[in-house]
Amino acid sequence: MIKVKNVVYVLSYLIGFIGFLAVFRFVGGLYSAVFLSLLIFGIFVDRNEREVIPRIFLNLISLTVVIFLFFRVSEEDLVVPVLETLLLLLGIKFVEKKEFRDFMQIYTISVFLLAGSALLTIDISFMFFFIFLFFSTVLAIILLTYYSQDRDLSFDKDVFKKIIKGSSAIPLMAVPFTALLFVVLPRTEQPVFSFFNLGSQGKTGFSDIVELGDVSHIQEVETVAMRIKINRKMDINPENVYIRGVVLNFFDGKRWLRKNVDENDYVEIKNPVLQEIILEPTGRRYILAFDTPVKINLRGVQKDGDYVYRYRKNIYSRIKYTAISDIKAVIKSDQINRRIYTQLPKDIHQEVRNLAHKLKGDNTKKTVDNVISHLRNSYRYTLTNLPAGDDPVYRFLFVDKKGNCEYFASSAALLLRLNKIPVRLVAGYRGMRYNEIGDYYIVPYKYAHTWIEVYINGEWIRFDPTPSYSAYVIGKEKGGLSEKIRLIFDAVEYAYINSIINYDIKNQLSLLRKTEGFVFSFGKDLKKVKEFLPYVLVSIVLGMFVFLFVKIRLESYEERLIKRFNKKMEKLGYKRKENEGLEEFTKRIRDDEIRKKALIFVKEFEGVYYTDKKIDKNLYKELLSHIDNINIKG
Amino acid sequence: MEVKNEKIKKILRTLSQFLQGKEEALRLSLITFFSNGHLLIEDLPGLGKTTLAVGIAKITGLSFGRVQATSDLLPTDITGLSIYNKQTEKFEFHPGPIFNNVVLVDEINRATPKTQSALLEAMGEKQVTIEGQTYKLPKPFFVIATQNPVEQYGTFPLPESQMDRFMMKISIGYPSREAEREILKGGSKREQLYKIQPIMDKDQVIETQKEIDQVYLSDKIVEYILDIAEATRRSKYFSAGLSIRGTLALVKTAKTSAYFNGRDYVIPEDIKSLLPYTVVHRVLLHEVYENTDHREIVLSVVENIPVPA
Repeated sequence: MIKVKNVVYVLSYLIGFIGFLAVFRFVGGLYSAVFLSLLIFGIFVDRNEREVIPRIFLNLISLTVVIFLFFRVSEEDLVVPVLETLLLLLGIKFVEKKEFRDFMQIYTISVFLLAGSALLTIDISFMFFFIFLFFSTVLAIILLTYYSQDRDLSFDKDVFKKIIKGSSAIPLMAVPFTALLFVVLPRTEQPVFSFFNLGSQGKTGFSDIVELGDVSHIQEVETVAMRIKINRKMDINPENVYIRGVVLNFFDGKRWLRKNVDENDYVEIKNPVLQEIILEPTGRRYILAFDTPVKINLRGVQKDGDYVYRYRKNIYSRIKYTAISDIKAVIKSDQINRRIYTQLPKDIHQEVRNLAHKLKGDNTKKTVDNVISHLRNSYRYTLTNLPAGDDPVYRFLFVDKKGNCEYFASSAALLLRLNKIPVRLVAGYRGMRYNEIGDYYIVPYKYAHTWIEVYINGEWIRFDPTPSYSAYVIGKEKGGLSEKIRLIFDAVEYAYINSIINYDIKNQLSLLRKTEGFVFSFGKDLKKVKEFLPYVLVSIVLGMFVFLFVKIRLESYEERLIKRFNKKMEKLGYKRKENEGLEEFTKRIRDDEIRKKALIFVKEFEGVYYTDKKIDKNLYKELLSHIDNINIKG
Repeated sequence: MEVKNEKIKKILRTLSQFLQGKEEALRLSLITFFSNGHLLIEDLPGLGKTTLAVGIAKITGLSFGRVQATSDLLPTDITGLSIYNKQTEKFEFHPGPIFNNVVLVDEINRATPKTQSALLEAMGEKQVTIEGQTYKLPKPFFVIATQNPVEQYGTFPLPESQMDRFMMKISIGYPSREAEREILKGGSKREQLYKIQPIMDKDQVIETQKEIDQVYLSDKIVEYILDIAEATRRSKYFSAGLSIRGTLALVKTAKTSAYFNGRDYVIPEDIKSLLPYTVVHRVLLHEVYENTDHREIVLSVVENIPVPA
């Protein structure tokens, strides 16, 4: 025999603990410690079955905790304090002597904690927590209804197994709904596991290391890397936009790395473009924006001398920021470290040296033109069968004669450096796709690109040695139905992300302040609200549905029977007063037939109801049939 | 639990012959008797109180004692006293009429407060202490006290705090015309009453009382009783609400009522139907409302409380 009470209690501890685990990484250590000790104390209290601390006192503490929250919460840090407060409230709940509603509160808070953790990050653990919470909460609520009927109820193992089976059917039935919700649920663009093997992705995408010959095959990934919103009035050709990520300056023959340079580049701003960017997790620290970015509005961002922006930590969750760039501006620098920018790898193949010498022109500009045109005319762009081996540049230039942008950029840089011209490699994205439905631009991973910047007469000038890039990558877009559907879905997701994920109030406020009358007119804001409105409505309807469902489920058989009986009698013209006992009421019915039949129900019902016996489904149906019987006259 | 209340039904049937038109009073008395409580009857003289008391004593085979209260009645007249015995050279205890199973105290409000309190104490404690010696009263022990409602000189009304000691307060009232016609035609049946055969014996009475204790009381009913108690305690009409003894009396009488009705569980009607007899005399009206009908005002408060189902 298994006591329902014990199962309910243990399940409640587990559910609360899972809620705690979901937020454990984000909340302060003190909160975790307090919660854990409260939980343990709660278990101790439950074992002794007495109220150690009066409920009123605990309620006061809860109230204080909530009030304290208002002092702690700030516009830039909203989620974590709320989670910490919820965690404390959960702990306090455990200490209380638990009634039905206390259990329900424990479950609700635990679910809230998990939901709150999703606002901070979603990774594989979320899925485990979610599945566990889903099943255990449903089971716990079902057992709880038994428990609230009879505190000392025990089940056979078989009966218990049956209940578990039955209750796990409920979440399974909910799966179709979940599929619906999936559109609205926050999720990352990246596959959940991707962070475990960030090092050598054989996929297109922005990376801060350009490594040649590492993989021979690159998959094109449609997944969205970033979403950018700009003022449509700006005259920008989306195919020709370069998005600056990181500058690489050290080449070891196979890999391009970034070495710190003490340099003070500057830009004269003429045509500022404001962008509102949502960046999917990269696992790196670099913040991207249109080339050349002059200002990034995001807390914790640091600007390097060569217009590379670094975030304070690696980006493992979606972030949102605004940036100001000047597309046409040229980066100027009065003084550079020539030794670094003309650094060469060891053991350069003689043929490469010869080629570099052959391409040398009268002046720097001429040399650059020669190199670029040589690469563009003699080599083919490809993503398959990439040159590999120990000297990938040599293989690219003289054996395979085809490669992706990394080979073109690396080769160009090497050839120029051999001519003592300072060059650096820039990695980022080129091009973006307009989404009409959402009025924003999508940059997929496959638009990742590498180009070079050459130092000519005090200016870093961008050159793109990759031939027919736009024709190859961007021009290949299919305009089919599937593409359209994808765009629609992405627009939905964009609206959702914009409203919910990373809802950083400070950013939003500062954005509003800075861009008033510049980018966002009032009309646009209204449009945004309109976009979001359907989701609000849908969730309200869903919420009501769930509420009704729960309410019906939680109304016991007894309550339903009494309601049914009262309704039936009222239909027959006998209204029972609320201070009237069932028998008392039935006895005043004048119609003999009705009275007799009503009495059959009343007697049987009283025998169950006032002896606190559990009404099972069969008995419920039987009693129900008695009520339905009252109808028949004569 | 199986309810074996056939004997109780038989008792009711038998005694009804002697108490025409007073079946309800008889039922209430028996409920009090089996609930281990005491009964206060407020009525005019000559309406059958003695018949009721004697009837209950006879039919259950219990001993019967009677005290006629007067202003010169002394506590020892009720409890008994020790008298010096010359032969044995010792004080010997001579038990008073209270050492009977069923005791009728007639016109209790005629006795002096001192005597009243001696009696009431014996009722509450079910024992008597005389000269340092404690004597247990017999079991079962059932007191029927009567009181004359008409205000008269030389009476000492029972203090309200003492009223609480009676489980129920009832009045028999005049019989209906038909019932009285039957009485007149049949003549006094007092002689017959003394000759009736007991249907139960002492042990069976105690056994029944124990069985009644086993009647199931749901938490829902407990809540209902608590609601009633709270209503009387909070009401603006009353200066004193139901005591704990009062709520306990509600439980006990409800269980007995359920048992009488052949149920092994209590339903709200068990409590509600007895409210006029169990609650009214325990609740004190506020001074402002003293001139209103006590009974009506109390019932208007307690009878309107929603039942659990």
